[in-house]
Amino acid sequence: MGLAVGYALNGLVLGALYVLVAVGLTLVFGVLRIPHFAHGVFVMVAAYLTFALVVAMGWNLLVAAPVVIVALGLLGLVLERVVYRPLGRSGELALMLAAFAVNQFVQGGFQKFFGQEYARQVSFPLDGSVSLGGVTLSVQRVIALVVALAATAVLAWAVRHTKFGRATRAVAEDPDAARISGINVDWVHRWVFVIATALAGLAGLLLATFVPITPFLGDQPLLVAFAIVVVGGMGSVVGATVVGLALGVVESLLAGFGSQSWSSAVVFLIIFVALIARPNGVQGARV
Amino acid sequence: MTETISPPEPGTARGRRRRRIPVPRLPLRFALPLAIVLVAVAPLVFADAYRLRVATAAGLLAILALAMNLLIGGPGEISFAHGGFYGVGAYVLGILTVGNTLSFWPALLVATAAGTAVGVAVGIPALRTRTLSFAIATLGMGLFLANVFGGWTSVTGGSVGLANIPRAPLDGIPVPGSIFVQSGVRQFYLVWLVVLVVLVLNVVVLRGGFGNVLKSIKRSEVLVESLGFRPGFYRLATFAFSAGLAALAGGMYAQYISFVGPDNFTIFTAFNAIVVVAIGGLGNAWGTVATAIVLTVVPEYLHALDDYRVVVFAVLLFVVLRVRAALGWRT
Repeated sequence: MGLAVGYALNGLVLGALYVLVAVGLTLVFGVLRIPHFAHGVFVMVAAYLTFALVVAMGWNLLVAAPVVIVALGLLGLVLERVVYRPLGRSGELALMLAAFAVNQFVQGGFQKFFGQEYARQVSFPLDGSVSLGGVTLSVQRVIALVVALAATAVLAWAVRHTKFGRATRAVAEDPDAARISGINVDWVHRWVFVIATALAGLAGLLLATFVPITPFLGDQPLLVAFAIVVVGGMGSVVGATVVGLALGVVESLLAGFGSQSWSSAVVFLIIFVALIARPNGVQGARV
Repeated sequence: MTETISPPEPGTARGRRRRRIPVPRLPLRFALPLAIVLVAVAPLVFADAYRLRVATAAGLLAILALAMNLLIGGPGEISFAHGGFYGVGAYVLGILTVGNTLSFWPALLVATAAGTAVGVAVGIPALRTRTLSFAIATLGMGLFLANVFGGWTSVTGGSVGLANIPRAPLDGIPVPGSIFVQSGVRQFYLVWLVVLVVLVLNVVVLRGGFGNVLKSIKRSEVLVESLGFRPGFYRLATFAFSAGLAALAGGMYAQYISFVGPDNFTIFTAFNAIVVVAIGGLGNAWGTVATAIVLTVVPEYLHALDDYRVVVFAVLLFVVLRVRAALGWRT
């Protein structure tokens, strides 16, 4: 029983990191209509940047964190302007292919320059663990869980209650009507994309302290995040959070009690079944 | 007050009207004899085993891409499960022929049928969704199938795969090219014969009455239904047919390489096919074949750029998308 709770808690941490990737993906999808296959490389780039700052240059992780997040936001800003906006309305397939091209470009480049070297990791500055009703969880995991959930909560609140959030929902609902109402649609697109990549940056920063950093670091989170987005309802932050946490726990339990290789197979099968059962997502809401 | 208030025209950038340049199309009665002649004389021109191998590889990619072309050009759906269907064909052929359960030709038929059956099984639930949901649903299925190929060790050989798959029994069939090239020429003709057959099937299905119904479904499913057609049947039939062709491509691949392993049948396999179709003109069968040739041959001459192959291809894909956007073609 204690073992199951332990796995479930670890799964919750894993799920919270998935959620960070998924909420960005769901916003980019819901608002810009881009199936953003390159979202995972932002996670990977952020992990490498974290490594460069913390290990190679000796910065404190707390100092590096805002730098990584802002840098990733800037990267998103450039990418939206250079790659996605010029494709405009040439369709979802074009945007998806462009995203995949970005994915291949960045991943190919990183593989060329860093792929041959051994996988690296960033050590977390705080040791120790927290005991909670007989189950221990390392401080690192607790902080990752809290930070990820807090960032998601702030985003969910902002989408619901701020002026920017209202504009975002209006654009997601109907871009043309939003434009007529005086909302600067391009401006909303730009900032939604920047926020999404910054969140992916935060996910990469946290992930870099858990797993070895390779050019393929972002692949698994991306695929799971896509599943979360679809099952949780495209554009729904709350749906993504619920489904993401649940999927993290399921995957962790399956890997713990079953076998590692089959756990992902089962997770993908769950995605397929859930999607078929509820074609519009579990929540079915937009943004 | 000349700002556009009305909703923007489809296919235009932000409502501004742009001149659209039509997609070039070749009539089948001119193109097919030309293609047959080209395939027939190609080995005489190549006259060396290496080039023949490259040309055969191009043909194998073309078959898979044509399977995808049928789905994208017809119902307009993208499938990431096609890497899996490709794998089903390859593994079924491999398992049947390695164990000598069946000889090659019946095994190829069974492999194609198995791919079609899996296509029906996946398609019935998955086709309830549309466009992106469909793409992600098939993504889940593609990942699942890849996991099965790698994980079901007792049947698929797991990560080791299946080796020593016998090649198609073609020895003894008289072939003109064999004067110049001893080995490989029969494989070349076999693969490209399949390419031509699948290509004609593509053109016939997409341009005939069946294709007209598919095109109308893309415009308005309600309208098609009101005319007495069942859109669900047309979508499923095309998807299953496409899956069967992908499995046929897998079978051809397995016998040519003589080996199957789980790494060759992932969602990236499907994505490569999607890229070929996208550059080839989305529903343009001839363009798809031409792109498959270019994307196989060009890297062979880019050995200097070998390390940057992925990066160069990504840039190439983006340039193609950019040009299409500039021409006002909807992707």
